[in-house]
Amino acid sequence: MGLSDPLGRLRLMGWVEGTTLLLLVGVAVPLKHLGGWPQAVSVLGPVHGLAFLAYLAAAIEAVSSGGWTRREAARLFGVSLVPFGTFLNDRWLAARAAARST
Amino acid sequence: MLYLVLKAFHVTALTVWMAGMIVVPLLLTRPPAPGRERDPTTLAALRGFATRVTSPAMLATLGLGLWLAQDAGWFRASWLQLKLVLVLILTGLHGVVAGQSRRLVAEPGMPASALLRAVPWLTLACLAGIALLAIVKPGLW
Repeated sequence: MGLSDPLGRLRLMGWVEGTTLLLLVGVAVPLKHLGGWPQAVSVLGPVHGLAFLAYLAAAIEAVSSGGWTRREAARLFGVSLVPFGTFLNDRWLAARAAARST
Repeated sequence: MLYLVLKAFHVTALTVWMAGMIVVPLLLTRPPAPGRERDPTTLAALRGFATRVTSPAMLATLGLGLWLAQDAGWFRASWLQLKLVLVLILTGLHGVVAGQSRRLVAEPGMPASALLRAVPWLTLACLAGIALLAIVKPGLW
């Protein structure tokens, strides 16, 4: 998962985006509403926002560099809106990266 | 005090990011001399600038901006919500510049896309909107 390769960067950003979303929804939001501790949302909200924007930039970079169908591009953007989506997508991206390197 | 220091770094990072978003596509889309391909060394240098300078500046701008907005409690303000839409567009345009520069380095003979040619002007339009919203802070809804 090299950072110099757009696919590697996209996979890394996918993991970061998915992890921050899970932490936000699974930990910070319950802490705010059930534990009366809103600070976690205050911190994780912007962190997830940054991760989402970074994933978006990486996805558009990958698509702009060519070799993607419209359906594949839509899949790249759609998964960022679904919890676990970027994790589920990672296997597909890994297979694509492996196919490109052979 | 911390807010103002962060704001100064945010504006500095934004300036570097916008400079890259205007200059890199302008130079990438400059047509080569008749009968010649684009210079691969120049393309690689522009690609390197986009990767090593513009991308970190974008991440710093976004990170500091989100921190500032959270710190000041601006997220419920309509002007910031509209500003975030423009930021989303700029982030997407950055992806276009990064991807197209990679493609042009790999294939110097490929014609530059119409979208890449439009990026500097779209960047200026978004930047003007962002400056207006951040300075005037209008109540829109």
